[in-house]
Amino acid sequence: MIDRSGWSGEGTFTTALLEQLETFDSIDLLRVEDAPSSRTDADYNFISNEIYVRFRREPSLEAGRWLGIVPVRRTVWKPVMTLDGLESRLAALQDVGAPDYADETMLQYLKTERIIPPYQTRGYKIVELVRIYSLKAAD
Amino acid sequence: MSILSRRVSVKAVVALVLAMIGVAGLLPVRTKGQPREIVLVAKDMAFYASGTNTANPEITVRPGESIRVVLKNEDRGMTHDFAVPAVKAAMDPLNWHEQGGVTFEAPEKPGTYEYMCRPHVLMMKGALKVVAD
Repeated sequence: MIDRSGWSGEGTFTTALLEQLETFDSIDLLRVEDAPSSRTDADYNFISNEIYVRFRREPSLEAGRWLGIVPVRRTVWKPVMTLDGLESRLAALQDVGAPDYADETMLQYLKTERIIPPYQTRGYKIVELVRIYSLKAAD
Repeated sequence: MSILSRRVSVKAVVALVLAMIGVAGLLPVRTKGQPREIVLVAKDMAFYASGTNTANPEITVRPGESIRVVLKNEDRGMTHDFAVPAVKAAMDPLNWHEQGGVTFEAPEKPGTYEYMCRPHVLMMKGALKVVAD
């Protein structure tokens, strides 16, 4: 289920990306929003979207020591995927590919397409910037 | 006119000429001084004047004015620069969180010129307006 309440629906690459992300069972929250930087000029249409993903968590037992003495095992909830892992999976997809930029909390795709309307010689460019952010469990 | 008054007027003229030479000697020969600093921020694939929300704002300068543009790159994951092709001024590209500057002299001829980010000239360009006083 994708939360599209803050999104105008613009962006073909964003749409393709969401279709792929929706199939990943390692993601339990997916939200897309228009970025405030979207704007239009005579020569271009700049579409900027932000996608927020939260990875599903699974319990795992971790060894520790109570008061630093008594050995204990406790349950820790860990995400089943990381942003690095997501980057690799998306990079392997033909419709998506590797991001133009990636860091610890964000993947960024910048796509450019020239549109020439019928009966016109001079078109305009659609520049689509998509940023994927990883949300923490509390977000 | 008496001899006395003629002497006085000659002295006055000489004094005036000497005073003018003295004042002229004190005047600088159009020194450029410190350049005027303009701070721009690159974010969301646009330039912004520091503290404003207008994308790619018009920059107004005087003919021949010395200008220093300081650019702060706040665009995560993007490399930006600032260039004015008309005066062949350009700074080295900046990564996210980097800051750089370029100093140049505005064109002498009034008119509208272009400034830009060379890697993103489609979206990051604006007018450098040269206006005479």
